[in-house]
Amino acid sequence: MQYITKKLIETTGIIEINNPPRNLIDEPEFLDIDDLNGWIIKNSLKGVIIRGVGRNFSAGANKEKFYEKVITNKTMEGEFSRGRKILNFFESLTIPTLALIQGACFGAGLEIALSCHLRICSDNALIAFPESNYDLMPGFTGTYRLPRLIGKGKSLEIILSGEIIDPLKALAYGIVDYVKPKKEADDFALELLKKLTANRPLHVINAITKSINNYFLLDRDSALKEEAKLFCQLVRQKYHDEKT
Amino acid sequence: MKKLDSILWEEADRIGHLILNDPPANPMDVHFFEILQQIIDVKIDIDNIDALVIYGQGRHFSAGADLEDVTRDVVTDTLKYPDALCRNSRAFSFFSDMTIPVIALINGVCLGSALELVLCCHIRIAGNTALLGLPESTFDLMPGCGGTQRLVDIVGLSKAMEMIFTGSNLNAKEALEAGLVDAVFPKTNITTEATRLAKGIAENYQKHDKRQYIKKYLSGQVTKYE
Repeated sequence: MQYITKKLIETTGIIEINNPPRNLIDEPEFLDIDDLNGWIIKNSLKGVIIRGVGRNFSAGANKEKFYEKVITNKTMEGEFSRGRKILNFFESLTIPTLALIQGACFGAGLEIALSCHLRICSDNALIAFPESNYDLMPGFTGTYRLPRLIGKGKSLEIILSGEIIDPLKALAYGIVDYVKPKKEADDFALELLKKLTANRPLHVINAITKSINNYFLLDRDSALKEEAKLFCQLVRQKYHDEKT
Repeated sequence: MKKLDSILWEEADRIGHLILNDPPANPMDVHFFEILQQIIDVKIDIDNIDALVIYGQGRHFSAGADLEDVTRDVVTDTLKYPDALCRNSRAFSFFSDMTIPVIALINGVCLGSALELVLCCHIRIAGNTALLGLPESTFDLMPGCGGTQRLVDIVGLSKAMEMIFTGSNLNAKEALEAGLVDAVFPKTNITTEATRLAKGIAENYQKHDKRQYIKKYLSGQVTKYE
């Protein structure tokens, strides 16, 4: 947890994976959920960008440390499930989240990026699930979130080959939403979040994002019901605000 | 008193035509949803049709719901909300759940709940002057009839978030690029194209059903005498 730093740019929160140069994830519980949530609420954040410090996003889990822990520690499964909870929490945030991918984005790093709503990568980015090269597999929600995003066939190709994907292929496969020159990626990410949220009140952002999250979390008819409820809440709030 | 035929239902050549018929805006108000439900309950019989096309009378598909109307209805609870809204949403889902192809034919504006109806169709074709969008958030509201679900389904999360949060419209070309519509035709012959497409697809659907039947037959789920 000492490897995460947080910054503010107006109402956008910047979360940095801060373990350069490769920004390896040393433990599954890499981030404190309560701390993050408190920070988002306290600062009335309208969006979050997650990125790596320096040249890389994150080259993934620290294999030696993870490996040793799994072998020696029977409670590792518990630790893994807490790590998974962090990504699930991230996915269910009710403000837009964006992964800004520069340099290496491997394994657990890619799994973090996949739990965001949006992914922007710089033209020097390298993306991969290399686990199968070591006779392992993504263990941090990657085998679930990648197929959901790009389908079964392309996911199998990426996870089984373990090969590095360049930005244009990542774009063509639908893993990332935009590719930008290295120097422009930062600004583009900030501008994109601004474009989505700057003119919208926080409660509207929360309602819309919550409803969109439901697309991935609920069955269709439940999600439609929730959408109708959220819509009516916004209508009542708007009426109330206009009266007072 | 509003005229009762704010939606028309016609059948021709085994193609069903659902025509939004209150030009120019073809608004989707409380009355509209009542008529829509009646047509669903009483008139649409899929034994009589092989495909269904939906379009607006006049220059536009529909400008969607009047947000002032909706606000009044929700706040005064004239109808039970959100139950009433859920009913509207289910009426739209009826079309996405149909087992015959449903084709939207989009001319002019198609905004808000109108786009939400169009998102329930299996195929969307647009006239070259069409304009599509979900402007709700610009009024501090959000789509309430399936937009936050089906748009993600059709154009993906990134594009859907952009459209829903900014409330900006796509023209026909942009909609085609985003995958929001499947084809664009000059608006003058779009009806012909839609009907031609509907007939072609209807035939293929029937073939598909036959294949399904043969598959079931071979796997022993149906007996020879059925």
